[in-house]
Amino acid sequence: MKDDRNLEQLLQQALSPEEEPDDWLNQNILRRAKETESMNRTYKKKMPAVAVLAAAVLCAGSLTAVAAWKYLAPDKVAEIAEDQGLAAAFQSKDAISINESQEYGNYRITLLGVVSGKNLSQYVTSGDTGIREDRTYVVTAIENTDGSPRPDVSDEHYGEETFFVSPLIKGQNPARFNAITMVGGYTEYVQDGIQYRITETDNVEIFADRTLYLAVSSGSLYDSNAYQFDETTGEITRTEHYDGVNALFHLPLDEKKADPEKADAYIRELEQELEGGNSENVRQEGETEESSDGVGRIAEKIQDWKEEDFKEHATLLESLTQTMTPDEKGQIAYSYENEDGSGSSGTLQTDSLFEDGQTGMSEFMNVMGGEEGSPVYVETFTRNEDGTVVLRVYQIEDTLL
Amino acid sequence: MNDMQLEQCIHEYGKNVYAFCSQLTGNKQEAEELYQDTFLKAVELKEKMDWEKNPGSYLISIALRIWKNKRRKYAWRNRIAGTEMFTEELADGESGRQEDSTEAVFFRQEQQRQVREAVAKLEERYRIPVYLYYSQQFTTEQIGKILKLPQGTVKSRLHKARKLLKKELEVILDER
Repeated sequence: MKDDRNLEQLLQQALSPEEEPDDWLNQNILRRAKETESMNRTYKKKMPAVAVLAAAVLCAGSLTAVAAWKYLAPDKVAEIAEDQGLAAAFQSKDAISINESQEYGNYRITLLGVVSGKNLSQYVTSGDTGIREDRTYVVTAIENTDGSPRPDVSDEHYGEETFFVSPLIKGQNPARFNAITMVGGYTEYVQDGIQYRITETDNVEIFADRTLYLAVSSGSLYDSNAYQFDETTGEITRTEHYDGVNALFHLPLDEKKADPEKADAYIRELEQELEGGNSENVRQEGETEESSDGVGRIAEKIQDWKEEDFKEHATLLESLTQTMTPDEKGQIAYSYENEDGSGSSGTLQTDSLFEDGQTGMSEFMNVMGGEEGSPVYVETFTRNEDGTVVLRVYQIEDTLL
Repeated sequence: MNDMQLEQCIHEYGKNVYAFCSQLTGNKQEAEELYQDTFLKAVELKEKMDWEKNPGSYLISIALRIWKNKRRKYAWRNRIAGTEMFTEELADGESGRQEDSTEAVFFRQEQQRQVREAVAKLEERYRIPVYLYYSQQFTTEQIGKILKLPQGTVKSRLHKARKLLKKELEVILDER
């Protein structure tokens, strides 16, 4: 037993992941993924930043005329991003213009405008579950407070300081409900030293009857240290002494556009997705040569077998039968070895084997062996009236293989 | 999967996927190649992949499949170019625990190197479940899903692997 514990410990220590992949490797993946995406624009047409640069250069001549006020208007930001559909949406009466700035460290962050609706952009975004038609678009500007220009997208320093822009919803934990889970994306470019970003997510207008925020923080992912979520009131606030940018604006959406029913359905759906955790996809995707082996077929065949069926079609290995009393945690532990050197050991929670008060044979069984012509064994678990559990090991008859 | 989701995936699962790639290939260059291919394949399969549901085991099963497909290529290259073994690198990387004496650090590194070598020598059918169980911390049920094997088979393979390792590492275990 001591050896077993030592071995477990040794294996865990020696095999625990130690090394991080190099950063260049991760950057390479992101770059190659972007290239692949821009080559396969079937229905997802997010504009890569490099392409936007060309548009920005073309338009630069007309900028001085516009620059009566410091920032580009949201429709202009969309126009330069070559999204005429979105530019038109920002000119419509549904668009909300804002011009509010906050400063943190060396950065001034300005929220310029927001618009929501169906099919506004001429580029279609797809999530994992299909095309996302109903979207919210937010335009922000980031500049250096010392007046130096933000690095251009073609500059080698571009992307050294990353920002995460996301709408947040009062009452919903921002660690779970943010631009990433709400199928977000963004397009950005630098114009006159100011970094403009159009962030898009699923339409948050349905939540307009409660407080909506726009968070702009350092990093490329949501950082729980940057904001505080009060679970009682649902309020989201900035962390005062956060080391980095953690701007938080109110998104003044039109309350009349709120749709509580849709909002609840959206939250429910997202929660289900986040908590889903089953791996159906893995099963479908990773088809291997092992999926059709004998053990799989046997497992399917015997899944409804009762004790009588085992008696009829299998040989009970009596010497391996064990009666176990669950410990204080309700667990049973067993270990045995067959004559052919194969064996099994494990710890099982009796709650997972039997329903409350259930006696008799559990539906749960272990099928093992069957490789390269070796015998197939099945472990069954039967609970007695006194709470003890009997492990029986059967060898399946060759005719079933 | 969009760019942000990919970045999040790399952030959360990169280290584990990288460790698995290193263990499968035993070679830095090939591990890096497999690691990149795994994430790029995940991007390519974006319509099929629901990244929010168990992405960790999904990525591991992609890595495993690519590795199986490419094994011949890797093996061929190994014969020509030779390899830089990962076990040595990993041992080198652990020298930062200042509270231990140099001798103790060396002893521990040596033990861990021997354990990794013993695991690397196991037949593939035993080796991969060991990596998935001890390194990736998957349950036998999850491993069964990744390898398309019944849970019982995973358990019996792990049992056999432990038995083989116990024999191989007898000296180390006696010392502890």
